Amino acid sequence: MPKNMQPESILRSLKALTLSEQRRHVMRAELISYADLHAVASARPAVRSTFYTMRLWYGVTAFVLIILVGTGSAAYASDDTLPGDVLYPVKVAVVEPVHGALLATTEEKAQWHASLAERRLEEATKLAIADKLDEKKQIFLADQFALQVDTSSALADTVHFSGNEDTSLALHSDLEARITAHGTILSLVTEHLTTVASTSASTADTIVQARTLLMAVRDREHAVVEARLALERDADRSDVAATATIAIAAKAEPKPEAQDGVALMKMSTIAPVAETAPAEVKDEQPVVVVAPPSPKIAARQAQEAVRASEVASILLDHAALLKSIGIVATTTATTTRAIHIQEGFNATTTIQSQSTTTEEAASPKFWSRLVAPLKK
Amino acid sequence: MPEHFSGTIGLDEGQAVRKKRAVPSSLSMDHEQTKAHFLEIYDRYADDIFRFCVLKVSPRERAEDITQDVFMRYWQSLREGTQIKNDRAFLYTLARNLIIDWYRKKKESSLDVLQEEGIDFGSLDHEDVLRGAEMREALEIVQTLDAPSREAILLRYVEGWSPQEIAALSGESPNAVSVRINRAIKKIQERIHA
Repeated sequence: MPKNMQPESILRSLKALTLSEQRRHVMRAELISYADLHAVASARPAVRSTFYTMRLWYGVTAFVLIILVGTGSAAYASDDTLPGDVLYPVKVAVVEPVHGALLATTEEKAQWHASLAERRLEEATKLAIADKLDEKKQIFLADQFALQVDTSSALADTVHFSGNEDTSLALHSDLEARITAHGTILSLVTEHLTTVASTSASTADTIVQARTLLMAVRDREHAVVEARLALERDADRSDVAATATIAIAAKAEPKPEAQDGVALMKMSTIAPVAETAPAEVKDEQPVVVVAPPSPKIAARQAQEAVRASEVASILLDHAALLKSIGIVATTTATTTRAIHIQEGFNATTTIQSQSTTTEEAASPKFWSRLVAPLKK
Repeated sequence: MPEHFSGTIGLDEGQAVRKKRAVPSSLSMDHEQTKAHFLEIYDRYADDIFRFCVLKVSPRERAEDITQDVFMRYWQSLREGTQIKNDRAFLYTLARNLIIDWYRKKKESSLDVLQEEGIDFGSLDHEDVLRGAEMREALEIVQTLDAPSREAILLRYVEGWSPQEIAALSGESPNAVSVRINRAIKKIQERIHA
């Protein structure tokens, strides 16, 4: 029987030698997990999305000019460009990388990339306001935002591992503040867009794109906060006394939503201890607040206050922008809260004055004054 | 709102958090696209790679493991952005290298050891009795050949590769591959009609 067959056909029978259906399935699932674990990083050295880097010959010209004119804090024509503008590719593919490359210290680079992450969000916000945030631009900005955040974090980690833990913490904190502030701003703009009477098709798309981008922002914000908390825990771990007092302070801290009359603050994950703690003066745990804080807690509180004041400054900087599209009432609340946070910042050692100021802020009469303009 | 102080956390968790941050968000289109391509290649070539391995290493589980290793390495290459011109050739090269490594680890000097161990093709649950008999016959025949000839024969008549393609994998010239195949076929015919 088989002896009469040709070798070729006999050999072909081996084709049936395959993985069992079950094994194939299991292997496939395991490979998927493996792939997700070793994910493709969007952090690549060059600007990956070619959409805005195609016209790089503009960049070559600009690069030559930069070399000739020199750098420093020069203002370039491409500075205020947005995705879609002619000179935007130059900004993103040439001006920014050149600036970054010429920075000397890792610390400066970390801050530079944090500011670039900020810029991408600013651009997205401006596009959203102008109703020009389409999918292509959103994907590009989300991608670049993530890249800059990751780069900044990685550089901050480098600073940490080279022994400079305080600087590293400050860098992480700074990045966090920027992300939080701009996430809040974009969020406000998006909310505002949804209330606009005439929702054209482009506005609807802009809203969708803005919300998608916000998801990416939240994602990174969460990661950055976790990283910062982990760093703080690493530093605090040795201080046992601090841990006990910290636990008490955490219980005393009320949720920020309870105190806010403005939707704005629901977006923020930062609850400055300086502002909320004094509200507890009325409660049964004044001991915690009044007692001299251990150096570690004071440092953490100071850091939180710094972050809060940074967020406030950024919000203030953009108050004019928000005002221009009619978010007036919120701007008022933002400004007022910003002022209070600034005051609270200096109050780690002067808890008394802090409680006076923010007790005022916490009073119902004050908040009703703020809330009133929001009612339409 | 994140828990600010939920107790003492070790440095390892802190590092784990940092590693987690390195994983991009699921919105990364690059990751999803690469994964889709990867799975497409897996679906197409998993069986072929397995067959290639199972006819060279035993037991069958080892062949399955090596098959999985091949695809894991393939993923790593995709992730690193390596330009792969021919996915199939790349996979086979990976498989071949892994098999060679495995033999080296076993401290065997020649690939002929397989002839003593025999090929373990496990329980073939989806074929009929006749097919099983055919396959056993084929495997018996194939085992009498030396390793390079076996590889050439299998790639030629089971996978349907051209002598050029086989030459690209094995490093011989296409001419040498053709000669090898012809000699092997002759040998097989002698055995069949013996």
